[in-house]
Formats: sequence, structure tokens, C-alpha cells
Amino acid sequence: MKRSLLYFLLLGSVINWSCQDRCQQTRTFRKFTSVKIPIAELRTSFAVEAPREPQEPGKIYVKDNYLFINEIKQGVHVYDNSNPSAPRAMAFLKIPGNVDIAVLDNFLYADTYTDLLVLDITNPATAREVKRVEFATRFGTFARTSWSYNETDQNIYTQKEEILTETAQTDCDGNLSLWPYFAPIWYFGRFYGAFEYGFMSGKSQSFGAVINDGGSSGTGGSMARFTIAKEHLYVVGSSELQDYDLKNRANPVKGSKISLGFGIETIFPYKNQLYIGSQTGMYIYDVTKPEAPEKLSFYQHVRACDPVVVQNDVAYVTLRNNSSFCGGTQNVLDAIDVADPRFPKIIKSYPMTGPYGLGVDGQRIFVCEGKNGLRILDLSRGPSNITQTQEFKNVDAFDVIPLNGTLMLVGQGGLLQYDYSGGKDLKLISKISVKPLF
Amino acid sequence: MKTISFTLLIAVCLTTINCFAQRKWVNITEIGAQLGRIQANSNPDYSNLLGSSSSFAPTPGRYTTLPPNYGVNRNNLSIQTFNGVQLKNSLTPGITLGADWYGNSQFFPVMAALRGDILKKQRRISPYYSVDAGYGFRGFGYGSDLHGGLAWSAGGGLRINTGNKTGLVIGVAYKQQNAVYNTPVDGIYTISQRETRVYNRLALRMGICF
Repeated sequence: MKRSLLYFLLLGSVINWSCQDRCQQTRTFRKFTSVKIPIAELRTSFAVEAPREPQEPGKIYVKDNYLFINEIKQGVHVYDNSNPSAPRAMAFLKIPGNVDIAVLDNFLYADTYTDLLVLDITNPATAREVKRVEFATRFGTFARTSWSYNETDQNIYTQKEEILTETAQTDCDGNLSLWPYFAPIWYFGRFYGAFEYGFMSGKSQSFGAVINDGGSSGTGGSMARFTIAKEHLYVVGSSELQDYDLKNRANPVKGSKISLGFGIETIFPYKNQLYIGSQTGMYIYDVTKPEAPEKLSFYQHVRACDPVVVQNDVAYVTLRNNSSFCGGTQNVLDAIDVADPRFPKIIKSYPMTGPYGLGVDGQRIFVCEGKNGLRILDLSRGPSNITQTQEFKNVDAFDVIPLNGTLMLVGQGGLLQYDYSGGKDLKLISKISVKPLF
Repeated sequence: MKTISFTLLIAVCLTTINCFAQRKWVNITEIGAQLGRIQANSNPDYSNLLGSSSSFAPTPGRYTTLPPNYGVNRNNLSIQTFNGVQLKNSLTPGITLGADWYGNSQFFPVMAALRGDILKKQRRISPYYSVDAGYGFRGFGYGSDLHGGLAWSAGGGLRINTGNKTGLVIGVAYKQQNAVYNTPVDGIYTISQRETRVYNRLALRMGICF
């Protein structure tokens, strides 16, 4: 009996189980779908919503105790950061198509596809729309997608990005190198191609505060396309510089437009100058007369993909060699003398591993090295004699904003805040986490 | 001393008449082929990914080397060795170590194993059964993207007792090996690609036992 059962089992196993390999691949990918948004719908779409966890964070902006994190093409997360060890999510401002913001006094200026939106954020949790400058621009590109406005049918054509998972049968041999292999650039735990990264956020430094002699503005990154200087909002498009007069905060007046040539990407102010990053180099414009910016120089060495911070007439730039789009060939930190903005000249180059963003505060420079950690450099002996004081290998550091003793670090899975006021050691005090991709 | 030696000699003689019945320690080393088949590819719809206009859209057919629903045979080399301790004719627990090749992958199975005679009466040709279960480890030279997995096998065979210290075996078994392969991705458009593999094979092996 036992024996016949065994035979039966053996026979059954051979007959019933086929000898076919069964392999399937589960792939998670981004799907891009074309969508159109009627312009009338866009103009009624602003809303204040309950706070939510960031999923695809973009640029960061700091103003007083408020921390703003852009959700790419969705809106802005607002945090009360008066206590950096416990930032409190206040609200999510739904602004379709938003990528850049700038704040002057109690007014927030945000792009929303074609328009420039002005919000009164006296209390960000009850922000309200006070003005909309219509048709500030008619097309745009950001991160992985682009959009354009069609005047004939009055629709905005853009792309929706979603993360999907699909499964397919495969041949068990892993012949699946489907995609051309990009050199990915990491931001907030998300990856971007080098070209797309050109549009992503940057770093550090209270540029805004330095240059404002009317009102109080916030701190944006060196890769921002919006900046506020001398009660003027400067917006760079792909080929031009647009000026808005903000003397009446609630009613920006469109001013002059300067054509700059191809590939303009970033803008940041320092003293009486605007530093405008393009794909080929860096323009320096004088804004002593804010309504009529005047070109001072064009410095070719620095490109838009290279984060720049300026302090005490010295610009610090990191160049990374693996950003294929920007075509860098070296990994260095450059100190550039910009005391005479008509003739910027290099002071010294310092070798780095593969630097991303950087930040400078007083005697310290913070250089992010991506997966290789964070370097802290000492500036006390001048820009020609920078030495390394500390290196943190165990953090993923992409970007930093050092501000009043708190280091905001865009790290793996979120925005980390460190206390650097006391002595040498960084102390992690809080983390705003980013929703996992899938 | 003489007595001990004599007893040992007798014991050795008794245990070496054939592989399973007369020995305490049993080794079966076999070489053979694992026969299988794949019928890959539902020819996935690429338009779902980036849109046909995108320059990054892959060309159909790159997904697999095979045309849609076209089956091919996959026959690969398999080597294994069983070492066990005989408790009784019908029960020899032990361990099986092997090396199996599959397409462009290789695994080293380490399995707990049972061998034993099916018939009580010893003959010149005795049928036996085999059962194995364990884990197949990634082969040498395969990157960390490849992960091994559970492996099990059940089958039987015939042992031709050569009468002295050795025997010949011919075995047939059903074998399953699981594995996972994580394809390197750019992290931008493709966030993860994970291939789960179940290799179902008919193993035909020949070997010796002693």
C-alpha cells in the first residue's frame, strides 16, 4: 500500500508539474500621460489643503520661521519651523504647475503654469489669492516634464507623471536592460537625469536678505528661477530675464524684459548683482537701478549645473565630473573672487570626491558629496587656504542650507535638520520624511 | 587486538555488499542534465511606458531574445553529490551538494536529503527514491543582483549493484529552483525591475555510489 502510494506520487509529480520555467518580472516605472488643463480651470484652482507628506519634493524656500517645500507641479508644503527640532506641517497650498516661489514680507509669489500667483500668507494656513498676473509665460520645462499653452483652444498641455507597476513573463535570463542607462542624479531620494537635474533645487545662503533694502524676503536656492532684490521680483525663463516691480506687494507690475540667449536656468542675487546661470556660463548683472538691469560680465567657467554660493565677495562653486549634460571634467570646489564683478577671477581649486550642493555660513563651508557624505571645511584662514575640519561619511548628503545654526540637509528619504551651533559635532534634531515611491 | 580487527573486517565486509544495504556511509555522485522549457514573453505593451514618440522608448523584442509565445528548450548541466548515513535500507538521510547551470545563471544547491530503497528485497537492480529540499546559492562570478532561493527535488532511480564496493545509479527527478534577479535600473524612468524565477526541470542523471 505504502509502496503504491509512493509510485503514484512520483508519477504524479512528473505528469502534473510541467518542466516549464516560470519567470516574471515586476517593473515599477514612471508613466507620463499627456493632459490638458483649460486655462479657466487653472485660474480657479488655488486652494489651501490639509498638510500631507511630500512625495516628489522640489525646491526649498525659507522665510523667517516658515519652511516651504515645493511639491513638483502640485503646490507648496508649508511648515512652521520656529522650533527646528519639531517642524510642524501647517498646510498644503495647491498651486497646479508650481515649481518656484519667492516671498517678500507677507506675500508669496508663485508660478502656476502661465500665471504668476500672489498669495497673502500673513497666516499661511489661511493663505488667500490676492492677485494673478496672467500670461507671465507661455511654456515651461521642469524636471522630467514640460508644458505649453495653446492660445487657439485656450488649454495648457502638460504631462501627468505617475508611478505604475506592471508584470510580464520573461525568459529567465535577465535580458532586461530595457532603458538607456542614464547617469542618475539623486535628489531627496529621487533620481533625475543630468538634464532634468539642471532644473532642480539648489542650496544655501541668505541671498535674499543680503540684497533687500526694502521689505524682508526669504532664502531660496542658488538654482532658483525666482529671486527678489530691491523690491523687484526677477524671474528667469529659458532665454530671458523678466522683472516685476513689487513696490505694491499685492500688485506686481510687469517691467522690463531682457533677452539673455539660450539655456538660462538659475538666478541668485548678491549685493547689487544678479548672478544668472546658463548652460554655457554665468552672467553677472548689475541691479543698482532695479528696473533696468545692466550686464557686467559673462564668466564661462561656471555652468548652471554647478551650485554657487557667495560670501564676502568670494563665490564658491562645486563642479562635478559625472554630470554628462553639463560636461564637467573635474570634481572640485572653486573659490572665485567676485569683488570686481566685471572681472571674476579664480582664487583656488580644491579637489573633492563628487560634490553636489554646498552652503557657507561664516567660517564654515558645507559640501555635500552625495552618497559619500558631507564635508565641513574651515574658512577662517581665507578662501586661498581652506582646510577640511570634519567629514561625515555616514550621511547621504545632496544639498544643504545653513541658516542661523541649523543645517537643513536634503538627505535620504527627507529633509534633515542638524544643529551646528555648538562646537564641531552636528546633531540631528529633526526629519521631515518623504513618502516612499512605492 | 586481533579480535577487534577481525570484528572490524567483518563489519566492513557486511557494510560494503551494496551501497544502501550494507554500508553505514553512503556517497552518490551524479552528473546529468536538467531538461526544461520556457515559453517567454507576453510581449509587453511598451506604449504604456514613455509613449511611442519618446526617444527613450525601447524597441519591442529587446525585452527578451524570443519572439512572442515562442517556446524553446533549456537543457543545462547538473552535478551533485549526496553524502548520508544509512539508518536502514529504506532510509538514508544526508546532505546533497550540487552545481546547477541555468541559462546565464548558476546555483549551488545545498539540500537536506533522503535516499532509500523502495523494495525490501535486495536485487542486482534495485529501485530507490530520492527527496531533497534546501537552498540554492548564487554561483561564483554572478553579481549581487542575482539572489538564490529555495530548491527542492523528488524522484527516484535504479541502482545497479556491481557486487563489490560500488554501484551505478541512473536517476530521474523533478527539480525546482527559485531565484530572484534585480535588474540594474536608472532609477529615473524605471524605478525597479525585479525578476522572480522558478526553474522547473526534469533532471536525468547518472553516477556512481560507494
